[in-house]
Amino acid sequence: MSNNAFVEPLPFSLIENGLAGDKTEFLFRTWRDNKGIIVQDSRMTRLSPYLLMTLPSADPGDVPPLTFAGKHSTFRRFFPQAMEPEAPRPPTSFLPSVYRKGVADGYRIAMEGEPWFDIQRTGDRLGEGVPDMTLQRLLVKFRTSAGFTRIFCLMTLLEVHSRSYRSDRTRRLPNSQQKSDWHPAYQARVQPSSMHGNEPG
Amino acid sequence: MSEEDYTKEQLEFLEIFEIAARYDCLFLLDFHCFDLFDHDQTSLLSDGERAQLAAAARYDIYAEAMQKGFLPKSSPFGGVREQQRVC
Repeated sequence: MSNNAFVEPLPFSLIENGLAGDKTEFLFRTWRDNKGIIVQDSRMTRLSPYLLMTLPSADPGDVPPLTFAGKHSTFRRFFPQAMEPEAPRPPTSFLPSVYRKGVADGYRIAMEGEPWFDIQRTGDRLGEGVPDMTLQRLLVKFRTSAGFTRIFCLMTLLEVHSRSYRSDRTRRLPNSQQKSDWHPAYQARVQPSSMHGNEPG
Repeated sequence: MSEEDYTKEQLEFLEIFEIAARYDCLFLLDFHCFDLFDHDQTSLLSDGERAQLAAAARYDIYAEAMQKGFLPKSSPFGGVREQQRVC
C-alpha cells in the first residue's frame, strides 16, 4: 500500500451540488467568489471554530506548520494536547509521520493556489487512541490584500469506524453529523444527503 | 496618552491589534476571539480577556512575520520600521 492509498481526491462538483455539507460549501464558495481574498466577515468568523489554518509553506513531504486550530476542529478533538501553550513541540508533530506524509500532497496543491478536496480513510495512521475515521477535507489558500497568506483546512468527520478496518457504518459518533446552526442563514435550510448516505459532520 | 497610561495587559493587546490592523490580519483576531469567547466583539472584553486573546493570537499573527525576519517591538507605540515586513 502506498502512503497515499488512504487519500482520494474528490470532484468539486460535489461541493457545488451541495453534497459536501454546508460548511464546506460556504468555504469553497467564499474562496471562489472572493478570488482567494480574505476579509473580516462574520460568517467566516462563525466558521472559524471548525477550521485549521497553516502557513503557506512546508518541508517536502510534510504538512505546513499549524497556526490555528478551531475548538471544534477534528484536530483539537483528537489531539487536544497539541495546542496546549506548554506543548513541547510543534502541533503538527503530534500527527504520525505516515499520516502527515500521506496528506501532504493536498497542501502542496493548495499552496500553489488551487483548491484541494479529498476523502480519507485514516485506518491506524493517526496513532494509538485515535479511531479509524472517514474524513473529508477541503484546502484553500486565502490571502489578504497586504499579502498575509494562510491555507485554510476544513476537515469534516464523516464516519468513525472500528479499529479493525471493517466498514462498520452502524457505529457513528452522535456528533458526527454536521450541524447547520453555525450560521443563521443556514438554520432553516434542509441538510442535503451526502454521497455516503450520511450527513457530513 | 503615553505608554505609561496603559496597563501591561492593555499594551499586550494593543501590540497585537496594531500589527493585525496594519497588515490586514484583523480577521485572525476575530477567529481567536470567537474561539475563546464565542463572539468577536473585542470591545466587550475585559483587559484580562484581551490579554488572553493577545496571547492566543500572537503566534498566529507573528508566525509568517517571523519567517520574513520581522522582530516584534517591545512597545506597540513605536510602530514597525518600514523595512520590516509583517504577515
